[in-house]
Amino acid sequence: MPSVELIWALAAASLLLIEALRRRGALRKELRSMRGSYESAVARNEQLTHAADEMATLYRNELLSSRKRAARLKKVLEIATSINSNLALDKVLHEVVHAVADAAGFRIVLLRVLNPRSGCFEARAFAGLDRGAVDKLEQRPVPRAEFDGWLQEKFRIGRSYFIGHEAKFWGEHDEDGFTPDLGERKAGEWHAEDVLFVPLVTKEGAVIGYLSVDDPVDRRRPNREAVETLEILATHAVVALQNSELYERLHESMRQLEEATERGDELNDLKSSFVSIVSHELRTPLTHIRSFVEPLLENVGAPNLEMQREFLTVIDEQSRKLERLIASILDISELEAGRFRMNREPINVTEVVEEVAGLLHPMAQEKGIEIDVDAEPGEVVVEADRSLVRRALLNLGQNAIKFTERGGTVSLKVAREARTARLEVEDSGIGIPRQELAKIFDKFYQIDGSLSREYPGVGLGLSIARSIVEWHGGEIHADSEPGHGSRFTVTLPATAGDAGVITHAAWGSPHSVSDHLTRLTVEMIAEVMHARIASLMLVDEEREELYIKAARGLREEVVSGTRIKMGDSIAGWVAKHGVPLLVTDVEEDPRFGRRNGHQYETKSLLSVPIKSDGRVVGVININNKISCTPFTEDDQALLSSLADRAARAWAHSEAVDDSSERAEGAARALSAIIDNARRARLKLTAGSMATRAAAMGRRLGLSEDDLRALAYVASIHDVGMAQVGWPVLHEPGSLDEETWAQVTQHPARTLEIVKPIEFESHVAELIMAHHERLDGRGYPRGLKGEQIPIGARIIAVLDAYESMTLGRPYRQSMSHDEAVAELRRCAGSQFDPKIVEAFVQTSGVQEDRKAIQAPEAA
Amino acid sequence: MSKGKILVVDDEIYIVHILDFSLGMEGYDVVTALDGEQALEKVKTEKPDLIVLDIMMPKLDGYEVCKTIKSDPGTKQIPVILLSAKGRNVDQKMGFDVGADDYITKPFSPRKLVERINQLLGQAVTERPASSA
Repeated sequence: MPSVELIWALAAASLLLIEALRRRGALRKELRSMRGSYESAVARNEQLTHAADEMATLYRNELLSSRKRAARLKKVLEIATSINSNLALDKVLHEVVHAVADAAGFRIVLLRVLNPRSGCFEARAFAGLDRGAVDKLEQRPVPRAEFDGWLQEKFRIGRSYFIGHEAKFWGEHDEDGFTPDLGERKAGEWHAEDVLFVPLVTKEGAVIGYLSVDDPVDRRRPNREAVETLEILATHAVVALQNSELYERLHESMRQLEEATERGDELNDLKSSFVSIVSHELRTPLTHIRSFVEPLLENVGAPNLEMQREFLTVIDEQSRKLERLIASILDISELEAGRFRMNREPINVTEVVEEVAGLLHPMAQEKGIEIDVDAEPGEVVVEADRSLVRRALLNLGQNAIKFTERGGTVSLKVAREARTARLEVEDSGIGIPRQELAKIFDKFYQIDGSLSREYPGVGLGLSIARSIVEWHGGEIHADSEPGHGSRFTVTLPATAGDAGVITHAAWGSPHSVSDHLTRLTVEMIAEVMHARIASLMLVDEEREELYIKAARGLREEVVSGTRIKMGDSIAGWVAKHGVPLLVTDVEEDPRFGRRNGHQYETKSLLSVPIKSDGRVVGVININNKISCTPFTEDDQALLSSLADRAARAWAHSEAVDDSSERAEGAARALSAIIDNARRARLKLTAGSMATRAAAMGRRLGLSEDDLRALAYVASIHDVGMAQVGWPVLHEPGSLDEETWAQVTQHPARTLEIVKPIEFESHVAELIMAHHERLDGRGYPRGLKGEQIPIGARIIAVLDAYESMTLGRPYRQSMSHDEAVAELRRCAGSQFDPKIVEAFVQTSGVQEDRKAIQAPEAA
Repeated sequence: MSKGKILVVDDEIYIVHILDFSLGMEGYDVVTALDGEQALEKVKTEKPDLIVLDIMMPKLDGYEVCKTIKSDPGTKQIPVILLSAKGRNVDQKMGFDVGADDYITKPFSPRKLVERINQLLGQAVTERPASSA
């Protein structure tokens, strides 16, 4: 019955939908509070405007004689209240400096704004300066510390500061600065090196910029009126700056909300269109079969053999079509659940491409389409699963043929690149509209309306192709010129650990760790930790420096150009002290604030030492989780564990008397962990089992060492299952004996795979025991009760929960509440009751869990 | 002698094929159309006695075709049987709303469809003098 699989695939789609809706809720809340603060800012702004209006009237009457000045002031006020974009901000600042020039009587006015990222005041608006002077000022931002040094009581007038040239404050002439030529000045007159400035301070007391003036029209030192005018105008600049910042944040959340809403709606649409499309697509061949079978049955024994042959041919063809359809729906659900068995070995992709061209030939011939293969001479070898890659290419090829007119061309290209293979499938077909390009890889996506009838399909082929490519750590993208065809480009990493990792070859390492192992290490860290940026730094003992050996997510020049002194910065601190460091928000952390910001554009980061024989040999840094949540102490436990295993892997590679076989074993272990992490990523239930396990362990009072082991095992415990192959289509109990025997062996397989990088016996215990049951009816050893290590009992509960909420093709997934009820039902027999309760308690608060600062970093 | 002329409209060539066969065996003349626009043309030129109409078709869907036929005084008396994979109640209701005389869901039995056609045409024949009187 295909309907069961269908329901299952639908359940997957609805899970996605629920997740999107949940996120939308959180965003709404944030937006509401943002709106509140925006509204209060607008109100504050109105008050200020009102007050300033009164002041302006005062000035109009008492101080300002010129109508032009009044008009200018009015214009500033008008714009400052209606600020709604950056463009408007620049306009306001421009008006402010010109108003200062006119109203306060200075020919030269400069406004600088603090850039919180760089920590410098940058020149944003000017009056009375020529292009050359502006360029000079723009090129010389003023560091915060320098500015702070000017704020001395002896220079203060009101809220402004006047630094007369007699103060000799600036010392020797500042060559980078700008000093205007004011011509001859008498004593008591404004001097070329006099400086008058007013800091732009928010109501909360934060400095966000300053205004400085030069060359007064009356050639006098500043008087009280001039300073007051200056300060009022400074207030407007502050309001304008704050409004624009608020606006930008509001705008950004608005955009996010819109995106989330759109995504939610899209998923909803996808889901319902999936129902109608799949039911239609399944019914069409079924209709043909049924309607051709009936007359055949009625004519059994009739002499009309021609008719019978013809009808049977149709039935045969349609039942095959039905079979293909069901297979592709199953494929996608298995890929989604990450339960495909991946057999990664060196393959020549040119050979695969030629094979695919052959498979596509009948379909192409039917439409009179020519298939070209353009492959680079020689072999193009990548480590990949041959049948999966063939599958992905076949889907791309079929898609190309489907959308190409009779007599067109489909070409398959193979090119070798530095560490990847590039495969292209190009057609001369109808092309894809620009706005659709981003969506074509979505599950169940189909070009709507008339096109989907002309080009029927379930819309799973491209989605399957993408899952396969991403699982290999590769990339896929499409470009197209509507009316002129489309091109799908796939890049596959040459070796398992090569996806996007840059290594730095120039530095000779005192530790002879192979490039392959370092790449694998970085890849493993990035995949398991789900981090955008991962880097591996090694210690150069001679120079007492750290340098980046390999990294993912960093630009090449950063990788080759970064050297950090021991003790400096975050990585240097970690290397020097030999303990991990967790920073949840770099910008808010006073210890490291701005020194790293420009380098990594980082918010949350985690840094752990790699030790060999008690000596720190390197540091692993990860920045910014892909999920955008900050790293937590549970992540720290996991990363420390991974770092220990990396060190173990390298030890094999270093040892001179060791055979290369053990180094290869270590590499294989790392590769298997990478594959396992990618497969886990494809599951619909987000969130890492490792951090959940650590959170539960923490609640149950496990020691820090036990937590590390637990987090690690939770993230790798099913590595061995991939080798067994998931018996996904069978209900438990319906497995044949041989398959069941394999399943029960998977803990042992896992252990075998990770053994080359393992050194802790209790980790091995956890791996072996995570399928044991409290009542002794588990596998492989039938341990009972307290014989099962507590960590293994924790993983058993999490594993069961995941399996229940994820669903299986033979049954629908359960809701959280249903799964919890089931866990409780089995507490005492299968699971440890106190662990089930700990799970219930941690899972309830999991989502609101706030990150905790690392205590040892203080 | 022909029992009457049936217009079969479906973009699935096999459906057209099997209906041509089944209705032909039953003694009907069959004319065919592969999309909605073609269907409306054939209604004018062929003046069928009954129409078997698919819903999801390129260019013009079955609902639209049915609506057009049923709002034209020259063609509205022609019985229309909608034949569709869309099996939900709302789909059926929409079919009757646009004036269809019957709604059969795919997969379908050609034999039952033929019986239904016989029935409808029998009724139509007996009703015609009454409605014109």
